[in-house]
Amino acid sequence: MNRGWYWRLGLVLASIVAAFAVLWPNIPKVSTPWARQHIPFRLNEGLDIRGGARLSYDVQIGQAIGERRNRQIEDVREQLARDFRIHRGQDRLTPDEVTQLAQRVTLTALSNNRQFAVRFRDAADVSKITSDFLSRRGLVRVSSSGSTVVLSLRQEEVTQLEDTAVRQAVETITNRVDELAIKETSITARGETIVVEVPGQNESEFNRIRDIIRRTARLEFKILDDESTVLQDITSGRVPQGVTAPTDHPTPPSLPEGISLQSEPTTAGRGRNVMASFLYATGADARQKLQTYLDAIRPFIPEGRQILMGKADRAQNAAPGSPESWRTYTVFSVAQVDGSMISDAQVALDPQDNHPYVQLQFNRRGAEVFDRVTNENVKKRFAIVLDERVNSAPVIRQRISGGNASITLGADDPQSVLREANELMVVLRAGALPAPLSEGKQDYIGPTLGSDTIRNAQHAMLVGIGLVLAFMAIYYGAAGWIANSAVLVNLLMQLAALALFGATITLPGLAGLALTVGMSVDNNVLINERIREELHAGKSIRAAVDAGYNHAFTAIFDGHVTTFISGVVLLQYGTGPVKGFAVTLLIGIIANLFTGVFATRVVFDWLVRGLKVKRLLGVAAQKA
Amino acid sequence: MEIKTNRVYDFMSIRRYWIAFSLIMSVLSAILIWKPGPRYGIDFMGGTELTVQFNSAVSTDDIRQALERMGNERPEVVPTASAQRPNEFIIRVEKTSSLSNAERDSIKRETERRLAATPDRGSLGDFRLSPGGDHLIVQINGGDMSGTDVASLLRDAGANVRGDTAIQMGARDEHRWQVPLVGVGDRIFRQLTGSRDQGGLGVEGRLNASVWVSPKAGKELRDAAVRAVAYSIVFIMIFVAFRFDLRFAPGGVLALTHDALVTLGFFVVTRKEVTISTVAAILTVVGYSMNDTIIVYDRIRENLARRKNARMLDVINISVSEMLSRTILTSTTVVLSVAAFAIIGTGVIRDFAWAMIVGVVAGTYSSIYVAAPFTEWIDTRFFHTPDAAAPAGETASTSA
Repeated sequence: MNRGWYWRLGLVLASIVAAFAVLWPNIPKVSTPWARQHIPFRLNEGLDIRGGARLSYDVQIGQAIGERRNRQIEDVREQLARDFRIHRGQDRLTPDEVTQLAQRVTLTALSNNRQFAVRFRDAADVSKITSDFLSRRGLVRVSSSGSTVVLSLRQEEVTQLEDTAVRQAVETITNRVDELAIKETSITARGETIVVEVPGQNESEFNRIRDIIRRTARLEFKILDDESTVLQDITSGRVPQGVTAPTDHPTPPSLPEGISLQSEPTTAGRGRNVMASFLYATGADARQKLQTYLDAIRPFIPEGRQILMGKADRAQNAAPGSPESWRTYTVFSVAQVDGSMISDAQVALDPQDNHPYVQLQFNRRGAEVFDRVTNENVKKRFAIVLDERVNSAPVIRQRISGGNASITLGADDPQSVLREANELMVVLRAGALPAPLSEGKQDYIGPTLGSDTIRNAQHAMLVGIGLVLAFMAIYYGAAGWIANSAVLVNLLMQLAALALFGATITLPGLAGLALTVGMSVDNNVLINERIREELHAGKSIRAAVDAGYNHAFTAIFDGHVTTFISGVVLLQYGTGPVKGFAVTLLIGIIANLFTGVFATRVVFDWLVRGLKVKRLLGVAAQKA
Repeated sequence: MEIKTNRVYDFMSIRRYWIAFSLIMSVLSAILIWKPGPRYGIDFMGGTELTVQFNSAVSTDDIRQALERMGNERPEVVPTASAQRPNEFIIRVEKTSSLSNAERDSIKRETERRLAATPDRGSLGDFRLSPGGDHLIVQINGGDMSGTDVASLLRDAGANVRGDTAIQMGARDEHRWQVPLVGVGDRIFRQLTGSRDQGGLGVEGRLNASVWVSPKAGKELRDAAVRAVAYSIVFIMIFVAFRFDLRFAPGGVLALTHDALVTLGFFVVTRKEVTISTVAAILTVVGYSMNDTIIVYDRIRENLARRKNARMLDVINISVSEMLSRTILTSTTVVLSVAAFAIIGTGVIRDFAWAMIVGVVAGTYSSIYVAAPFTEWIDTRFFHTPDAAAPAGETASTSA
């Protein structure tokens, strides 16, 4: 036997050992605690065989309606700015234009989530709200008194939102689950409740999935108003300019204990160095305290501004477990760029300190807008707002073209930052939810198939494989066992590969596996039949084996490449279960080629070159 | 043991009959898929989900069998593994409740009439049946009614309201209510808890919820699968044209389409439910069919190169004859491997296995009588038509 043969034998044996090692912790009775602890690969059983967790969420449609109303406010604001000749074109309003418009008209959201008030300075301007103006936007006039008009979303629009919000939320959750590569998950809606059923028993995995599903993931970029004196006014009890105080609260509430007014040096445009004010709180309940105060002062915030919160001290190396600090940012409420303008998100590592961050890629429209907005706001700060929280607020140093931006994630320990970065990537790629979700109950559920069904299927699988093995052994005699060994090794490798990819085994999946076993026999049949043909044609045993493998290989190779192509296409264009099927198909093809062609050749070569057999596959050689 | 195949059988002489047969089968399948169309299961259509808590232990299989006796196909019975609520099961069936349009309109008219008859009770705004037909959504503008008022109003108007109260939707001042209706879930529950001789389980219980459940996989999954198959056909044609010859590509695709159509047609004819597993089965059939066709093509390619002057038809006969033992062996083993699932398997697995068996038989057959003859037809129609150099028998003798 030559050296090449020993190498090939070594490779085959090594693959078998490796496959067994991967599967070791999954085999009952054979696995040891050591294996379970040190080998992380598991064959997960699907909902039908094992059961899993049932997470339920309620879509807060009321909030989605409020959100739609808020977008209407922005649209109406833009249209009025055009009517007052303050604004031109289709772009969003600039901060300056918002300030100018506030001299003529203010728009306020009302507590009823579908209504808002339009207050003109000059009662004559009320005529700008014509019925044509309203019908074009799907709005209705609720009441009109003096210079104030109250508008509302139409019932049809609300109804339509109710119908679509749940469907969109299901779609978004499906995308997220797909991005996470969780297999065989079932996502269904019952009225306004969405139920996600996840296979498995792993509590920490469920927690991770729950967090990712719950995130609204609304990403917005807003410009900071660092010259604003609103916070100074409010904290010293004055009503800021341009604000009409509510009649029941003539003065803003004073700063509660634990929150302080601070200031920081920054730039608010080229050559404009300013001291920007912000509120700061630290301690265990800092966030809650700050949130409560912000809710209380909301009626005193001028038109077009917003006070947002974010974690303070993100950049400093805070010791893990130290109390959280939170601060505010005063921003212009118009979102200049939002999540719909993002085409992709990726986790990257900062080359300087190896900290993970999320790299955003804008789509064409996003890149255009980002380029224009950064150009107009050089030396101002830009808040990256995720789910109403400011993630970071860097100064725009120069115009940013090319359509990239990044989100940094603070300086906690690298493991948790990486986890957060990955979650963020998933939710940004999968898109935002149309409405926030509130979490319902979590239950564990048993297998969807009864024990007798599962038992039957297991029997069927054993019988099926047994029949194939017996058939081959009868038909080819001793050489049949070469093929049979190949089939068994093939099965071992496919299961190992499934465990390696963390795939989920379902009953139809098992039936599919039985089928690949049947197909893997095809390779051996092709080769063996070809060797027989060559032997009948009068070739020597060695020559017949060589010719048999060579000729059969072109057929096997072309057949497998064709199937491989369709597997790749299914993986690329399929969703959910179709993708899972494609993975199994691709694994099967590679395992088939390896065991059916490469591994059996090692055995045949040993037979003809090492043992120098005179008969093969029941055919005696006609020549030596 | 050995299947001797030294003879060359003249497969192609009877190709016309088989082509006609394939054509009829494909067209028939296509018509059936179009109308009446496949029977989509709960995966694609949605259904009704009941949460039932039994007073004593019941097995999943007993519940399933009882449901099947009542004429529910492929019911899903899932035990909730909760310590606080023992013997609780989630049951999903594909039946849905629905009011007819006439019934709905009559309830609406009656509700309006009753509201108008009493002063200060407001007027009816929105009035809709939910997508699954398990509840009504009503809006009563102006009035200030409680949930129980709304429920009794609709009950008086002829609606079969479940429970005593309607559920408020959205803000209080929107006056929108969700009114649950008695439907298919309640009927199934009654039958299930009924006595044994009436097909029930003879175990008392409580119906904790009965709601319409949306499909697990909507049209998106089906369309994604169809789109993915369409794209892979394009790529496979390119590959075959490149590795083999332009003549071979259309035949392979035709065979593949034939097999997918026939398998799906089989589901329509036998009224088996199309589920997510069926989609996987059809994708597997497509893969198998392609592989088989390529292997037959490979032999034809080899023999074409060896016999430059032979007629294409003869080459196909020789190739298929040479491969006969392989074809029989392979299809037998593949069918053997899934036959056990078809015979002793239950439910979804049995359907899956049947789809595989039909698909594998079709895939093996179509390589010989769809792909090969179509390639020959393209060859004679669009490419050169060589004069017959030698009769089939003679060429074959050289190969034996």
